[in-house]
Amino acid sequence: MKKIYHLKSAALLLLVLVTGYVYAQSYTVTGTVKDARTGEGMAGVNVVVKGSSQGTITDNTGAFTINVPTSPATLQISFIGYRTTEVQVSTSVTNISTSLEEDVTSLEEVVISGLATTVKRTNLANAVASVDGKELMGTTNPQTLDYALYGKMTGVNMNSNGGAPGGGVNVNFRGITTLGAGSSQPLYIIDGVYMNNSAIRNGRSEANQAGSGSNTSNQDDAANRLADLNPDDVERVEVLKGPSAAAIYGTRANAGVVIITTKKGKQGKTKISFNQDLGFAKAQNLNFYEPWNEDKVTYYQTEYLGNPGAIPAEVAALNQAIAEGRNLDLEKEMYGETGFLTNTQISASGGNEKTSFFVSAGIQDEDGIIKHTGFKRYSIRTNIDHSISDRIKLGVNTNYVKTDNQRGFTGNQNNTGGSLGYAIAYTRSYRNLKPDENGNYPDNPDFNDNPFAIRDLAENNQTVNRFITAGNLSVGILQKPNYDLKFILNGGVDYMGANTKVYMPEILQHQRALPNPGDVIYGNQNDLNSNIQGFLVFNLSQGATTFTTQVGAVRLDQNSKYQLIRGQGLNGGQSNLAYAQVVSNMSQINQRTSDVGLYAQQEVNWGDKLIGTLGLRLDKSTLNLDQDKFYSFYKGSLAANISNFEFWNIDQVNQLKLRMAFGQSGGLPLYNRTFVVMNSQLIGGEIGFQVGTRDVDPNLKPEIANELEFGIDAGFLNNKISLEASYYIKNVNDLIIDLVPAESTGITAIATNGADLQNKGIELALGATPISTNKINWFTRVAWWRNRAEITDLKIPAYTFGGFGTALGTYIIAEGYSPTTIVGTPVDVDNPTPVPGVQVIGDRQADFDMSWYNSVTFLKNFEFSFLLHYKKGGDNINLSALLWDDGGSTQGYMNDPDGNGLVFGLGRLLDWVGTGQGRVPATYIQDASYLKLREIGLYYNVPKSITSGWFNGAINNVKVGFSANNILVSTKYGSYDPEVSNFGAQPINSNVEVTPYPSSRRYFFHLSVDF
Amino acid sequence: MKIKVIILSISLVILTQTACEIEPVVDPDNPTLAGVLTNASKAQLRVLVTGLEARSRGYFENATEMFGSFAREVAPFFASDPRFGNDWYGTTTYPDFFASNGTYLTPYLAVKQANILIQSVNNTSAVTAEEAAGYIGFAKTMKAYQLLWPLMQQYQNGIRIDVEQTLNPGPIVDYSTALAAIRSLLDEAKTDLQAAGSSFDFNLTMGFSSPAEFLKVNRAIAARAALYAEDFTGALTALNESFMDMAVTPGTREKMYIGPVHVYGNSPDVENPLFYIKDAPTNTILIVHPSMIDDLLPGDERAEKFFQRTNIVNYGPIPFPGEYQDNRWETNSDPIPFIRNEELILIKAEAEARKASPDFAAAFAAINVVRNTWGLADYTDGTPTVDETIEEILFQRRYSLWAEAGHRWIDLRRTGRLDAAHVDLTYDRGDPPSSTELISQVARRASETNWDENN
Repeated sequence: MKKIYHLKSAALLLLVLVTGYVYAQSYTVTGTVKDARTGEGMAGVNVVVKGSSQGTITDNTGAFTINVPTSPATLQISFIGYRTTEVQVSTSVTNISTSLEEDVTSLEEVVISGLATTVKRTNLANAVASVDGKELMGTTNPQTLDYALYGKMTGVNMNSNGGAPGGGVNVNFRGITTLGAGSSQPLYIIDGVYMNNSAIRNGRSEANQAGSGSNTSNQDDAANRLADLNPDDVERVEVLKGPSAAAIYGTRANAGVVIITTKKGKQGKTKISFNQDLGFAKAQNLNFYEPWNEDKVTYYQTEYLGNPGAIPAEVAALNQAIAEGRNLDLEKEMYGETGFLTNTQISASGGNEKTSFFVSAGIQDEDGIIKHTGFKRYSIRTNIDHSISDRIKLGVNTNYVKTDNQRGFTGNQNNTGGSLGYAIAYTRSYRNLKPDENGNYPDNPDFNDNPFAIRDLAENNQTVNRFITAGNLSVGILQKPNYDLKFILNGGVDYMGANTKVYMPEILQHQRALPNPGDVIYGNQNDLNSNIQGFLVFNLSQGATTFTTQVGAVRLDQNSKYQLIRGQGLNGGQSNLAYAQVVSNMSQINQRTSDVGLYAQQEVNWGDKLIGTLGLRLDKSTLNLDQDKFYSFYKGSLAANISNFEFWNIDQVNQLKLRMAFGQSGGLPLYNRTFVVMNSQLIGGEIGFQVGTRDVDPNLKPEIANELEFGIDAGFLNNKISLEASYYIKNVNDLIIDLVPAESTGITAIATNGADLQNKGIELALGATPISTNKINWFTRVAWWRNRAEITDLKIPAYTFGGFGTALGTYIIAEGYSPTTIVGTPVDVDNPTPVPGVQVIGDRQADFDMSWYNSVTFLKNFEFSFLLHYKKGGDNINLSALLWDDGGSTQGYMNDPDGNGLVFGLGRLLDWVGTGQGRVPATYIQDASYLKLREIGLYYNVPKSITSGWFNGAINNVKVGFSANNILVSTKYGSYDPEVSNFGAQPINSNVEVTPYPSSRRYFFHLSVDF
Repeated sequence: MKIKVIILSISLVILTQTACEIEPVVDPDNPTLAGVLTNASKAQLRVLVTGLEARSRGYFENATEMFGSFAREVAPFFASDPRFGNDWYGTTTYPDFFASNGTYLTPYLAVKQANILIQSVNNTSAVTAEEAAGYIGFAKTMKAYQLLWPLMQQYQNGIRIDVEQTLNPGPIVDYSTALAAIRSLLDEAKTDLQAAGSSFDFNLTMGFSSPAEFLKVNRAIAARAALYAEDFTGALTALNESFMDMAVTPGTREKMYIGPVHVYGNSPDVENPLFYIKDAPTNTILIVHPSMIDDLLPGDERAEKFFQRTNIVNYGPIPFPGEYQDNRWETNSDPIPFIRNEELILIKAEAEARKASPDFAAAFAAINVVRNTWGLADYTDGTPTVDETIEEILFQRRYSLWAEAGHRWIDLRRTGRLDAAHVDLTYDRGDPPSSTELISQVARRASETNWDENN
């Protein structure tokens, strides 16, 4: 040990000698740091002597004391979320007072640049988007983290699957990156751990037969598991939208990467925060079901059902219902509940020089707008960082989450009535369907089941238990004045155990029509993801130029065991499988994948003027057909900070950066795609093997995306105005698609690299602080983005894909067309016909998106913020409307707007059927443009002068506020919400609507207290 | 210094560890196809036979529902999807409506399975020549029978017969060529079965579980194919080698149902697709077309096939109330004979009447076995003509073979009678019905068209 001590002293001496500034005595500087806006002292601010390792932090009043070895010297004063400032000190200036301004433009922040390195945003060559916890959750309380990101960054298109509690969002960065073979959803990395964001199969689409016959896609309406993450724990989210930035994540990064960093403790007094949100949810728009009247009964019976004989009985039933006051608006009956929302969060954070911690606990409890639906999340987190020595730092983050989700029954069904929306489309308002005093639900003569019975008696539950643990270790192997070498190891595990239950009791009407009434499906899933990466990072300074080199290796393993067991023929109101006459295994899957990668990157920074990066990642994965082959992914980027060059003398433009980046990433085939197997089938008590219907191209390779991005970042008037503009071209080559051979060969799909796709897009963000005074500070940001996708090469015949077939609107994959193009039958001469027999009838791709975020602080203690989001264009396939027309429940069914004698509801249906005048294929394709006030919030910080008198001054800060989610929605779209997807998160097959869970408006009251 | 070195070494060890080799993954949940293609064991061949039986029953539901709708035997009151009514009760079908796959892709999957079975038998030394002939005779018979379904659906569009190589299929051949190929495949299978010894090396759930017995099934199918090909003497020859039994009386009615069956059962088996709980409060149900009730002859005991509901159902796209449902099945596990004695007797009647020199007496005798069995008096005609006799046979076939995979539609089409005079369109939408055209074939699948255009 002694020897080491001597060595350290010697190194220090060397440092002192080399730097050449030898002063016999250092001196002490004291000072205070204040918030420029509020004028209050800021605690925990970093104060560092520039060019040395001397540093300290401010105390609770904002005061600090620091020893400065040189004179003159520069103190660098920084705090997260504020603009760093520098102050000159010397032996004659030893007492300073300065203030920090909030960094609303985020130019100062540090952003990921490699798997083990970060870079200051001003030196970044990519358009990496980032959102901090305040912007994420500061306005209101969105359901899940992905909802919270909505509209807050450019180049991101999201679409919620429906309004069910617990979420479910389709997230696409920069357009389409896969046609269905690879993952269409971004990779989520939380504190360095690959997070499992899959949706859990619960067998619901088997229970209500939504998946039978018509479509094999998943129609379970399950949420993606990002829902498990407590958004209140999140410090910051960085989004690598395209391969130019995401190349560092290699073979799984085609759909982009979302890097989530959770909160950390800060050195200083322990801070305890308590937040309580109370709120309620109401349906956004219930205006699509129309109660029946005598005119409609007569018309519908005669003209549509061809059963006029039943009119007298139906009219009598209607009149009786009217007399008894139960001619009900079934939409309001089903979806009219007020959902009570609560969110309670408590956290403590603090630390000393060696150790800091953040611990939190949260409970979120949300009821849906349909009875017996809701979402609960319980979360506990401990984040600890510890310095073993100057050189060795260790951090461990652990998180336990339990979520409980009752999603109810909405969406598609087949022949069971097992969907409330589907059933009420066909159910007449005057049926007496509510339970009698003994709890018996009458049968529904209009459809396969009584929606009240489904709502009250059927169950669709899902419980998830989850542990996510991340660890990181950083070892400074060499630390010299102009170079250092660090070893960084991090990784972790994500364990998810899920139990699902879908239960249809035997007394339900549609179950009584089945041979074995009563149906229950239990799902059990155990997933373990683990990943580790080790890197050596070498920094070298040569004059104004710094070189950063990193080399390392990464590994990811995923194990999933999944089983669905079904019991049919239940007895005595029991749902345990012991009471089922027929028990069968629906699905058992044991899945394992491993990826291994090697990464090297070189960064060169020439005096913050030119910053260049080159990187290479080599990856192999067991998901590839060739499991042993390494595939390579390159990246390179250059940023030129024009304003940092000496010749720059335009003071009004304080920052001007030109940047260019290129990168490659990959998309892996789905699990199973590389296997050619047989499946089992029971017949007459014997098990047979059936030859499968899939085959695989023997040369199959992963999808590769190449992205070239150009951009300009500019700051004007000392960053009062900032502009970020990017243009990208993203080509995804060798897309894995299914070659459909002649189906008569018994093979319906051969996975092959059959298509190339191009996305081009523009992203603009303009931020400004128009008013910044003591009294009012107003930050505003307008963002505008658009993406255009096109299939540039298709090596197999054009094919239709998704939806429910060409008669109802489906997507087309054809050269020269965007894969979001909607086509239908039959052919009309006016529209393009990409393949014989179908014509273009729509496109779900938006013309552009635009958002406007505003944050105003006024009267010192008030904060007001809102976020508007406008999506222009993009079509939906609205099959709810088809069902409403078919069932006669359409709002305005009996109107005759075009005066042709045919009423609106039947007329629209017959347009589609094509009786007489020929089919109108686009009948149910509707424009899904919208303007949404996504978030709005008003908060009041109770001044310290008031709170200091409470509880002997134990209270540091009290904040109260009101907020709301989606309270204004303006759209012409003819259903509950233009954001909808019957098939869940899908690369192409999105924006198809079949009577979804209606979306809600959410209102909150907030209280937060810091101790 | 030592500590640093140790840390560095450990770091590097961990680094190299993380990059170590990965263990290759093969599907842990399913057997590979490659595993049976060469040197298959007997056990593997047997599970392929069972798989072939399982694949072979898929067409029955769709043929009954879709072909039955085209000829107004049945009405698909499937409330969840208006397309069933709009399309099947319309005048054209659009390509690739998922609900026409059951009589196209599904039987071709069975053909694929049969081809794999044949390939596996030919590439193994696990079976004797006799055993192999049994496997191959069975596989070819089933393949020929399955090929009939896409052919019936596509009719004059024609179908592919040579589908062994996924990326190099044979051409689409016309109706009569395809039918001839199916018949010759049945004849090849006959030769194999005759060389297959006295017992099969496998079990069959359909019955007729020996080469000699199964040969009778092969010949029954050959008789049907010969009738479709209008080779009436060929049909009569095949019938003689089949399980046809003319000695049926009202007291031995069950003999009408002799024949190989598709078996069904509870999950994970497949349920009898035509079974619906009687009078259940549902509007997902196959309904009897009202003309079946209207046209029943007094005393025809085949009326027992129809069950009158008290619970009337409605389905918008088909504008009549649903009053009758199928009464033939007691449980969801009831087996369904797929070719049976009653059909063979009626094939005999037709072949006798339509052969080059008609034998009306023999034809009438066969007709009357059927009529008498169901409580109807003898059919008589002092001056019989072929046309009149065909009308009578078609009428008997309509009730005897009602809702058994779409006979009515196929029968009317092959005899040139698919018209409003033979199909009651008065219940269709519109008054008079908006069209008197009837669907005579299903549009060709896009994949078949695409393949030929691009290869």
